[in-house]
Amino acid sequence: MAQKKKDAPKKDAHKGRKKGKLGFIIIGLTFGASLLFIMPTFVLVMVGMIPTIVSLLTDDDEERSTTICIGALNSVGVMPFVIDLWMKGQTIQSVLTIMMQSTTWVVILGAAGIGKLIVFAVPQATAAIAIGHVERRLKILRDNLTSLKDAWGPDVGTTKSIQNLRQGD
Amino acid sequence: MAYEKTQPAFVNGATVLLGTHVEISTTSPLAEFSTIGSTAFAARTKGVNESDLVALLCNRGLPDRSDLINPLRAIKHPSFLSIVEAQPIYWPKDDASYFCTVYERPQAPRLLSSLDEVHPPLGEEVLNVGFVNPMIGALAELKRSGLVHNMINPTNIFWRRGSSAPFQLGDCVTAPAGCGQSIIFEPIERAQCNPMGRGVGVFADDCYAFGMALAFLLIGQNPFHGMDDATIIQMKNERGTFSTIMGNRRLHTSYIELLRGLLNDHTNQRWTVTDLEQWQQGRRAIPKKSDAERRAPRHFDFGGHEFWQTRPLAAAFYRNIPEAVTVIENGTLDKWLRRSMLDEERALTIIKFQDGLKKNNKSANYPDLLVARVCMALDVSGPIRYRGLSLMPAGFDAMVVDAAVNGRNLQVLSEMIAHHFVQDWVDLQKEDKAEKLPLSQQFERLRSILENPAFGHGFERIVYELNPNAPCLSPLIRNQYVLSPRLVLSALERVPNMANRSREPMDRHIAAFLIVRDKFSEKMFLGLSAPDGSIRRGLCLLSIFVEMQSRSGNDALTNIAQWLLPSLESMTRRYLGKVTREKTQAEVKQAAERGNLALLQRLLDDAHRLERDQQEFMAARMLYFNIMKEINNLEVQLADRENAARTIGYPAAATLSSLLAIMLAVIILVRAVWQHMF
Repeated sequence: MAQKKKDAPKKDAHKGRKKGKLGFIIIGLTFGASLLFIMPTFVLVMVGMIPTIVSLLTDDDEERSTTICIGALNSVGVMPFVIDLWMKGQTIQSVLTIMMQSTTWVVILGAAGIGKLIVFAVPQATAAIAIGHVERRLKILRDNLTSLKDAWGPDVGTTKSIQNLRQGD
Repeated sequence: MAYEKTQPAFVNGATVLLGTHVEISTTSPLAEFSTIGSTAFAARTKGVNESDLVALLCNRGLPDRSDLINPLRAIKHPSFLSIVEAQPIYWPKDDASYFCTVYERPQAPRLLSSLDEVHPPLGEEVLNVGFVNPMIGALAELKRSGLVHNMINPTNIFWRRGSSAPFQLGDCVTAPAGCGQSIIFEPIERAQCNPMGRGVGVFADDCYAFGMALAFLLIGQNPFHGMDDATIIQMKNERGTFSTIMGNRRLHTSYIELLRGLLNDHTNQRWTVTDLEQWQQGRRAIPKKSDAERRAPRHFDFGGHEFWQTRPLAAAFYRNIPEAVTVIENGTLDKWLRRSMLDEERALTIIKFQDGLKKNNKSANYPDLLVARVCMALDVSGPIRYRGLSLMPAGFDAMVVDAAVNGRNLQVLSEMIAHHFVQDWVDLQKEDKAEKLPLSQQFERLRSILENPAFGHGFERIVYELNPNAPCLSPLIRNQYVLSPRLVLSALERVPNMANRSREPMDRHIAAFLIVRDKFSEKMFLGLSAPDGSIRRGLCLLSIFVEMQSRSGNDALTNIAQWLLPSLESMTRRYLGKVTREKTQAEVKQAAERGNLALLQRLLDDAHRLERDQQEFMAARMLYFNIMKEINNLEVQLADRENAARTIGYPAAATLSSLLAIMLAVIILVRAVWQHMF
């Protein structure tokens, strides 16, 4: 019985891996099938999101904050052209037309640039605010220390025994 | 009558009042009445015009015998000068207090103005009526009162042949016993002592002095005229006092008998009051053999002299210590004692002393210690002789006072006590040993007191243990002659605040005085061994003074309180909190201004306040460390600006971008829908 109980989790894990593979295959097949219908959109998005992809590849932050910043605004920059594509009909010709327009790139890259600008500016600003706060706090704390020393003498900051302090040692 | 006419008049002007009815003229000294320990001044009963009294002011730095005052005042006998008043008095000229004894003015001049005065020998009738009978009466009174005068000699007796005035014995309280007495009037053992080291003798010593004074009057001159002290002692030693005086002189048989009895060199065989009264009644006692002690058949050569007796040999040993050590150590003395003196016991005692000293390792003072003990063994009833001092055990009393006041012989006396000389002396006594045992026990106790370095012990304590009537000899109040411990506080209160005043109103003398006289616990003074300015010392000092204030009932001691304040500063520093400390200091100052020592103690040793202060300090210390911890953390943050940007800035940027993107996406979608529909 005990052996059976020990073997049970192994079987469950094996079943889970089988299910995962099956899901991946189903999603892959679904994506492959749908790709036939949204290929132009996919191409447009893939090309438009190049700044995000580059950021993703170069971002070494665990939180991926830079990628999130650039990606969010980059996706907003791509979004009007995807809608435009859907409005005009999803064809490679439409994709090429959109991509050949300079405004397309100004919008897409400008949006990504704004994201990059936020990544550059906001941390500096927040750090400056936080440090200012720390400095103010430090000043208050140091003033408190001075008050304590005034009231109790310099030995308040030592570990000398009370008996020794009272003996005047 | 002629004498009375020569009395100087009482000079009105500078007078001081003693008691309620005695006026003393500070500008009328009476040199003829002065003694070795006092200066005499004219005095009078208040309201009387002429000087009817003599005031003896003990201003010569010698210890007095004020303990005799009450017993002497109780004696109502015409042979004694009557004491009118006796107490400490403030002497404005010296800005000091002295003990002062006021006597009724003697009715006759001194019997002899000096011991070398030659006078015609007195006849039997005159001598008996005018001198011998009153003296026997005086001695009987002394015996009855248990007193020893120790100053009987013709210069201290007020009487003149042919005068109607009665015989009167002079003063004996203004100097230590025997201090002013010529060695002629002292028995051999006391004659060999330093004057101040004779101590209070025994009644028989007064009888000896009477005998010698009688001899002066019978012979008409000083029988030792022209002799120095050493010769007198040597003659008394070798021939005995009686034989020395009599020589080839011829006296009346009854006086020979009287003198032989009174001048017997053996104290226990000397005539006392009973014998004298029998002699007065005409009963003739069997003459007791007197004269010199036993002689050896063969002499002992020492220092180029021949010695036939042990007592003179002891004196010679003390004069030549290196040679004495040689003859003791090479066995010459031992052989002489055994073979010539046939005194096995004495020889064994000396060997015991030698062995005892060798066992304790030979110290630097070995020769002195050895010779001192050998002298004791050779002259058992004689004085203790050590390093320049020669004194009877009773003589320690005055000697220690003199040492404490003048610093003389302090070390030697301490060594004598530490080396238990008195105990050894008592052990050697054959006569009256049982009576002397308490003395041995007392000095054993004194030895332990001397060896204790704590406050309230040591030499100062010995002074008061040995002298129950000595004033407090603290340099702070010595000039105020403080006899009672209850008066110490008021005396200290009067000490002016001068630059050279000691740091504390306390010293080893005051501590010892309070322990001995007011039964203060020795434990109360233990804290005074702590260093100057320490809390323990301050607390101890304060508790002693609070106890003194409580016992004396003196409420306002502003001077003492102010004097104590610097010593109590450490106690206010015990309060760690500035506010509490400053508050306490202010309260302490107020209490000191009011002179309330008990309040001072309550403020400075307030357990509740101290506990609260400690708790608050601990809380403050915890807060301090918490703040320090936070500061350290913040400083780390401050130093790593990049990290601050990364940890705070990047997530903020991501959030901001996301929100912006959502807003833009919504706008784009709305715009697209709007365009499509319209």
